[in-house]
Amino acid sequence: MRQNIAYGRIGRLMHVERFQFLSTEFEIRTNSLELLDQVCGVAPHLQQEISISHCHTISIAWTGEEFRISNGNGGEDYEISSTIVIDQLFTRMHKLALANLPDHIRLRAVTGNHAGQAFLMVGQKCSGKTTLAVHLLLAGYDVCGDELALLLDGQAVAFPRRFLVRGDCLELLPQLKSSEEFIASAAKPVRETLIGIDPIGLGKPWRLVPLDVSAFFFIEPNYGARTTIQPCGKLQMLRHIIPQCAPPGSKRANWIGDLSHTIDNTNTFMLRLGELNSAVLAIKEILG
Amino acid sequence: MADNPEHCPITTQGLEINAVADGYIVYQSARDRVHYLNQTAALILELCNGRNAASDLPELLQSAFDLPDAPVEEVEECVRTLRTEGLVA
Repeated sequence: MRQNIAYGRIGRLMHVERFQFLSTEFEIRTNSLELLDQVCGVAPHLQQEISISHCHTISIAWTGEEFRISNGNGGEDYEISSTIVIDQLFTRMHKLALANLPDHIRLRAVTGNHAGQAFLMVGQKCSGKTTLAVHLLLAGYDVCGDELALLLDGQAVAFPRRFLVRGDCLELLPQLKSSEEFIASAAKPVRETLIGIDPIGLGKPWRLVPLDVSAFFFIEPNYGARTTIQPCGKLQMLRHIIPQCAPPGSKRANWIGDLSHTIDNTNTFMLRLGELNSAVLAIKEILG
Repeated sequence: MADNPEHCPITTQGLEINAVADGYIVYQSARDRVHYLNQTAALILELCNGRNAASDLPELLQSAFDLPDAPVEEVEECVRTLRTEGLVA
């Protein structure tokens, strides 16, 4: 929702936009329409079925020489570059949004929804999670989150952020290579380049809602071979998953018990990730 | 005293013990460590209740798992490891 508010006394025109990150709503107020347009271009736009319990206002004032960023707690940051300002803004919003969910376990995982329940794909950095996530999305699965999932009492919800695909992985996603948006990146793939993708940009719905978890997959790379999925014992799955977790911000007691109980009540699999089309077929056999 | 076969090992206080289908996850907050115990180790931990002598544990395991022989060396090794890790005293 965009508002243009004129302050008669100081003569400044303030542009306002609101963004939701799970249970937190942010009101961004700035006198730079250009900056706000850039922020809107980067921000995830999706449906979030989560009640808002916290609100924060972040002000970004362009003085003519620098940007001043403040969230009203007395401290200000100063930046010249709008790119860095936007990066700092999202870092602030993510940090505050996570702080407002202090009891949730944080897990490095892709989140998907299927038949009214969530499935999670956990793996180390560069295990192929994001590439698999985008491939599943393009194959018609409701994949709603990349990189960060939040768990509490057996339910999972994805953290709302775009999927970041490495430039050199685009060749594994031929469905994207012909898209105008990615042609330039596909022509000169660079490993260090991260390309932001979201379901809406791919013509898919994007909705976040906390759901009971039905399945965990732990991804191990098996590049160049066929993907295989095998059932995994609970103890072994926990041994893989706990290193990919961060404890809740509240440091609540027995968060490991919460995680253990969740895993004990789901189906757990080792996914040795090879060729992506075979991965989709293997996952379809499990999830239906 | 711990090496005395009549010593009754006892689980350390303050452990968070969580059961899953194939064992226990034990969080030891004093050392911020997570331990993964299979079903055998989980049973041995349970039997370390301060009332069972260390020398009795192998026969208790033999009975529990219907084994032909009491697994003396294996149980002693497990109890030693549990003690080293600070899960039993």
